[in-house]
Amino acid sequence: MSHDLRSPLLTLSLAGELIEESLGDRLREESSSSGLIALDALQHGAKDLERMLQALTSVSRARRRPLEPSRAPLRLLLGGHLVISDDVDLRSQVVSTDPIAVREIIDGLCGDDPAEIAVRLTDDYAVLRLPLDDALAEVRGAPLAALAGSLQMHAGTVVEALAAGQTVLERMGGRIAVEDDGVHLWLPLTMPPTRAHPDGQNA
Amino acid sequence: MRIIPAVLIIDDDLDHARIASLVLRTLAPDVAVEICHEAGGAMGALEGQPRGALILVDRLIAGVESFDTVVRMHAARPDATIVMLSAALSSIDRAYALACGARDALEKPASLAGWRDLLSTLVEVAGAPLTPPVPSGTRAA
Repeated sequence: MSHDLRSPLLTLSLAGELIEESLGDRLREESSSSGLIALDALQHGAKDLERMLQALTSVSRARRRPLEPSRAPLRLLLGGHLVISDDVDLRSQVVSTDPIAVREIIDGLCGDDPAEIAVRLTDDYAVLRLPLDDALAEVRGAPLAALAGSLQMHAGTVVEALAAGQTVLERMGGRIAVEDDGVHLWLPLTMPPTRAHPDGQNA
Repeated sequence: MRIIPAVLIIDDDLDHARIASLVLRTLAPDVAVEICHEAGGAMGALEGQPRGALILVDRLIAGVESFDTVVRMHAARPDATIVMLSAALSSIDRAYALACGARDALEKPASLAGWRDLLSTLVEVAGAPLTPPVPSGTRAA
């Protein structure tokens, strides 16, 4: 589908540029500015469509992308970040996921700098809480729903990257949601976590 | 750098083919450019190309994937540099195109500057000698 849509869009973008290169000077000299306005409109519209189509393409690719789920130690997934957790055995936990895909989500949200990532364990999941990005101020719930709700607003932002990430995570039994306190990632644990006893001993 | 003798553009989207041809004419005015807009005519058009030609083939021609065409073209003319282009190309498509014999597989750029960069690179790649030149002062075995 993305090929079918992008092909005529390319034609529009390139035609706009060709008109600009061959007739731009003449249009700018004309007393009536309608030709220049029409050319600007053509180019802006094509760029906007390209941006939105790119968002659809990134989600579509996430659906078809080959994944290699493996047993990934949490400590490897979270390497380079400041991990906060009440679970004493966190570092021994292993999740079933595609580690590259998860690192892409984390890096997309946190960038290159170390970030605070809170982790808690449920019986089935390691739940990661990543910091909110400014672009997520108006977004709550599933990023894919937010992207589908307004391509115009979210295409090209971190919401697009998270929507693609949601698609990948859900294929591997996880999920992702934007909440008031951060972006939550649920990664399936390979086995239930051992809990700490109140006296400080592991079960 | 060797100058490529010719470029064959196989694309059912005539607008894209014409734009590529236009850009090629400004980059390499002496290089012959031919457009073929039907997959059925691709092999015939290939036959007429001189040795070392650059072949640009669209991934989808009239709704049909061009991978088989790439295999046949590569078998018939291993001297030609075949590059697959597409409005949308996944990493899987690219890997498959390379396995079929394409030298590369790339997305069609959305800007004229992108087309100029892409085509100048391809003309250079296709024009490069097939084997590394022997350094001066040494003799080939």
